[in-house]
Amino acid sequence: MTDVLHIKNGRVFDPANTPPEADGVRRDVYAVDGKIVGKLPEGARPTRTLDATACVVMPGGVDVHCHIASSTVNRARAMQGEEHASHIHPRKLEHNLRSGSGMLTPSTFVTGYRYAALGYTTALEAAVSPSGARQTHLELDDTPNLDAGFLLLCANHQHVIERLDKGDQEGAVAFISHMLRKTGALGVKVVNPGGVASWRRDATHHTLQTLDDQVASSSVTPRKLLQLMARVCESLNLPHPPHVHCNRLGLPGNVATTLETIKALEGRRMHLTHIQFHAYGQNNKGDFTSGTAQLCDTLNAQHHVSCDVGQVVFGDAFTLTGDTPLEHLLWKLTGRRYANVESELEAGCGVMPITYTDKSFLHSLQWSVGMELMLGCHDPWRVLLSTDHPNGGSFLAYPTIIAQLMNKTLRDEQLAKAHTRVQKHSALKDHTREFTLRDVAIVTRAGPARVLGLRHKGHLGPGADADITIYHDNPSDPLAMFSTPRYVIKAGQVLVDDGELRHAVKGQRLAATITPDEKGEALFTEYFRGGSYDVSQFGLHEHELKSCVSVKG
Amino acid sequence: MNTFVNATHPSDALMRDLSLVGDYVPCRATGATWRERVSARVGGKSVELERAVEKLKDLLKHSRAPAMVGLHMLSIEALRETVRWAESVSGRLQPWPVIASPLAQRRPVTMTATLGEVFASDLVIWVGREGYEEDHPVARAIAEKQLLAAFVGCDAQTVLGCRATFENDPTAEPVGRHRRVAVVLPPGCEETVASQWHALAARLQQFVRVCVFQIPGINAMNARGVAEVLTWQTGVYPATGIDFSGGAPRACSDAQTLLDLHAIDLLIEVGKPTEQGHRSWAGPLPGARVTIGHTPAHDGKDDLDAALSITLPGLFPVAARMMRCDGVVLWLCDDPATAPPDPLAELLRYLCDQTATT
Repeated sequence: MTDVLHIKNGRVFDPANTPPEADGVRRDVYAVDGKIVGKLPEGARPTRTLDATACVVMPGGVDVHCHIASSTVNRARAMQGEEHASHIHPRKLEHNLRSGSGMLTPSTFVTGYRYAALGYTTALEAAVSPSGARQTHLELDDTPNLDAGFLLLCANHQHVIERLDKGDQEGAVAFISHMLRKTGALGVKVVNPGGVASWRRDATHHTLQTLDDQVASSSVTPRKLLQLMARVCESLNLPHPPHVHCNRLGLPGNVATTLETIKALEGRRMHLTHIQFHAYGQNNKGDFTSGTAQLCDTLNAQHHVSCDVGQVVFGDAFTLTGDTPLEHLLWKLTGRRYANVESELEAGCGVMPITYTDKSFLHSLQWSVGMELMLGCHDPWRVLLSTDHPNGGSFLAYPTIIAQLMNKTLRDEQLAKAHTRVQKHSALKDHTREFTLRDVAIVTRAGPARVLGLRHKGHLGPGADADITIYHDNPSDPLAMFSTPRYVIKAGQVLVDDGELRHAVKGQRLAATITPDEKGEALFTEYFRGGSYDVSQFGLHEHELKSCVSVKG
Repeated sequence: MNTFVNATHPSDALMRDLSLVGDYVPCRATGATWRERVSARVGGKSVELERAVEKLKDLLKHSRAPAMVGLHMLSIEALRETVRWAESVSGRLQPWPVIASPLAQRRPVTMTATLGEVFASDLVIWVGREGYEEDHPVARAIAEKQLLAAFVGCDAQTVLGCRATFENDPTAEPVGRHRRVAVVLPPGCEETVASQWHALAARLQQFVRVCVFQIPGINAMNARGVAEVLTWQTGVYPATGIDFSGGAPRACSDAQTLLDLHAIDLLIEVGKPTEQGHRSWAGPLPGARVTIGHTPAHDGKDDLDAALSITLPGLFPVAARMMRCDGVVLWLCDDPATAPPDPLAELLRYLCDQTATT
């Protein structure tokens, strides 16, 4: 039976398909069997009609960078016994919803429910080691309501560095191509390029200072690794460019490294992730300052670069990163419970709780820098909303951040509570820009979908997935508006009805379309002879790959 | 309902990989469905499955606190069904081995590297090695690949002595000359000792890369998978058990296990129970005991003492997964597209659907 959904008379915001002046115009939206259609097929009658007269209609939200499904995320869940004990989610028999726990790193079912309850229907798990890909697929299978893909950690893989050291770029590309295909990844993640591998080899090589430092006593440098990853994305025609966590995260003066990273790719496409953590200047006393002025100027001029902000939210968070030397540094600074786990000479991941407080100068600066970046960059299509969940805070804080972006008064109220040095020197107070609903629709759905290369997401044009969020039309109270959608629809199915989650559906796995590479397979098989398990146990089997949605570049 | 196909013999590579997880006896599928292969006993007498399910419903109906225990023999697929079942009957989950230490609940990271990382170390420091490496396949694999080995005792005094030495002088022997060191802890290493080795490793990281790897118990099987699946599905690390009685998962008291508290009035052993499993809690068994798993349960004999027993002949290979002790996920077959599904997972799904309270 054909399932026809009719959304009637809502103010529709669909920036991917409409110019600014046409956004917010009232119209009807139709979906047939989980896909958007331009008009109702002849003879078809809606099986359900939702009255959106007092509502705003947007595509379902797309989280461009989060950590929700991996062995590392699970480690964080396990380490947060008290937090999970205080945030339990009972089973809801009437809606057939499973139980779970946790707020910062919720259990899988709860993750899917909470994203849907916020109007998000797609997410990108941002850091998975090659050997950990199977666990990520298992966890994503248990995460309802979200179509999800993941990024594969590639830039510190021992064999990639060895190939590059020998000057065999072709071989390195083929090797990575095979890993990406076999694991069902959506794209390439570059974390502290070369820095993790250097530290793996020699504990005294804790931080690479420039893009031309040697990696693990080889001829390889962060610059060469960045260029290799850009080449991988281009030659495989991946839907998403290299997703780069720059070197020197969190260190004073690191904006220079970020600007150098942009230059290093010489005009090629790239996505800089959680850029707030890479946007710090340094004064002559060595203290942190905001580096947003330089960075915004560069981002405004460099149209091939996109980024997500990694906004910090005051309160508890959980650091969870493939940047193991950084995690060790954080542990030394804070002494909180921590773990770093290394995986098969491919990558590592560290976890540690953190609390951002407005009493701290650095944390206040981080909050301010994130806001300055979102407001100071002119093109919302390329500066996207994220908290790097749960690193900067939970994804549940998105309504709070959106409210502060839409309302200067709310921003000023938060700034007034920040550390006095930040209050005094922050450029934030001079930003008068307030996000429009169109801006919000771009930074939370249309922009992420475009940057990730998900053509069937983030818009309401014919052929798009019928992932739709309907909010009460109340932009004067954006926190309330974005905290509790009126309806959330996933693939044409109504999940949230009257503000309450009443249904869950299985999400789909999103994997890049990659042609099998015989050379890459041969290189990988040869390399894997020294591994701790047989190559046949690596990644996904063909029938599993076929169950993923193939995303073309 | 799935029909088994005749499984081919598992490859040497598969057997080699799975030898690091547990002891598998290849068993050729017979072409029957799981329902045709299942056998059930009530009070030691053979009955039809439907009769056994009625008995199970009755036992659950009169139980205030049912608990699914064991679990480590289950595949990931069967574990998912077990969690769903425990949740649906507001029961408890108590994985084996039972770890009653408060430290265990607070220190869920038992190793900081996968096996491949240990293989790549310059030096392996064996803590408390007393011959177990000859019997244990994981320890044997490490010993075969190690470049250099050092041996220290498995007591608090030794590790505290090492901390005093290395924290003052990271260049001291046997660590100092090396770039990458693996500390290998024995099965069942005391939590206080293990946590001190972890603390030392963390402190040394700025001088020498040190990882800590713990050899699993010889019968641990999918114990890592149990910890991972239960944690991601519930958010609760299950060292001391998970309690669904309030409608949502909660960690059981970290002071005592559910079984020690005698809080359980219906014990459902899920997965092939081991001798150690039976001895893993103190005191008398609760009122009723049910076993659900593979035959032979004990020494080739059916479990005649149980109030209810529902079993399936062991089957391997199957299209199901387990985890190696370091978290690497392994298929229990060469080709999951053609291997039969895990019959125990199907049985558990059926039992959950039949007995779920509404």
